[in-house]
Amino acid sequence: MNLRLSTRLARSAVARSIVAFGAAGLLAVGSFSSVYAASPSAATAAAAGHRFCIPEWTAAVATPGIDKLRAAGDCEINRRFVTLDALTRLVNNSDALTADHKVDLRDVNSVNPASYAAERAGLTTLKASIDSDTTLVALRADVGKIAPDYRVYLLVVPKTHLVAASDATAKAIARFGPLSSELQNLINQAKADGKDVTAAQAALDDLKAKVAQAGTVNGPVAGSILPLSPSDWNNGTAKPLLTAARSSIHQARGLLLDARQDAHKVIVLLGS
Amino acid sequence: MSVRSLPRSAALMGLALLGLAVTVAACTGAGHPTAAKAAVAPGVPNPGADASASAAPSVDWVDLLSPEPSPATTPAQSQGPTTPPTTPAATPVPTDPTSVAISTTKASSLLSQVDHMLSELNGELSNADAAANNPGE
Repeated sequence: MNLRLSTRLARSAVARSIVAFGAAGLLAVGSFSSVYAASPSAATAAAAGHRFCIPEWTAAVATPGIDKLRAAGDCEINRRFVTLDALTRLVNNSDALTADHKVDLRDVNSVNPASYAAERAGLTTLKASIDSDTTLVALRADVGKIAPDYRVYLLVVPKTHLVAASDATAKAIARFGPLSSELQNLINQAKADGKDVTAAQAALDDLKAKVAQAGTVNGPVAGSILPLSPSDWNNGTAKPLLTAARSSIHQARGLLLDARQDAHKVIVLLGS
Repeated sequence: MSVRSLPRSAALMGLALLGLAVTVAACTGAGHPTAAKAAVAPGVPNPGADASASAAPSVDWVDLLSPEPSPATTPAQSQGPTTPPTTPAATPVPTDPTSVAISTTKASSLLSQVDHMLSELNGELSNADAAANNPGE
């Protein structure tokens, strides 16, 4: 079906842009699966609520006109509403996100210009404009704003997951605090009993260093990506920052896994 | 002289026979409840032996004739069949018997909490990877 659609659409420039729009929609499948993966109940809701707009675009290409293009534009906006609703549920139910970051992601605020509420408000206004357009030129211009003015899938969805991952990293780092203290107590106790604690102390020192390094790497992540706007994506600023944020979280995770191994080593050494 | 010595030798013989009987009884285990049970073929019920053993405890000649059990010959309690099995991790054996064992239970519990948070981090990071690798618009 996609091949036949592509052959037909290649006949006009308008059709080519429509194909690009539809292809982008297909690419968004991954984003949706990531949005819903964390919540089974949300996944069920997604199966019922979200759908791509292939039929609308097919109809708009087959019989070009205001009504068909308006239907395609409305469909694209509606599926973004569904995504934003799913993200809202995700954030509300998240154990990883801090209360402040939940607000930053969800509500209109001064930190995040692409909050769900701001996106939803803008898309609502745009939908009203699309629904009232009377010329094909005006309608085409409005439909063309849906993706670049809001960047729901390229910016808002990744930003949400990265902030959640960064907060989860911070929570894991915090968990190492009591563990580190307990391990130091055990080492002190073993030392008082006359045991050789050289290896255990070295492992614990390494643990502390790695956890501190993970904190340094992860610390600026959320603050670097929350202020990103759709225009930051369009001018090329946002993508490198999102990539760097993801890399930092991976690095912090690796450090924490090493620190976890250190903790295990201390326990084994003191328990033997 | 022979008349007077006859009762004495008879008494000595009687004592000797009594001693012999006691010795034989001790060596064969007669009168010992467990020996009576052991004489029965395995798998064959012998309620009489159990009943006599429980109803009227007899003199344990083996124990009476045996020397006091020494600690070296006494089986350790941990080897008994009713002792629950223990894992090495749960009860670490100290290398130095005079030192106090260190409990790592609390540390292990805290490590489990760390593992839980790392698991949550893995889930969130997987979502971020999926969103980055499959972008839309």
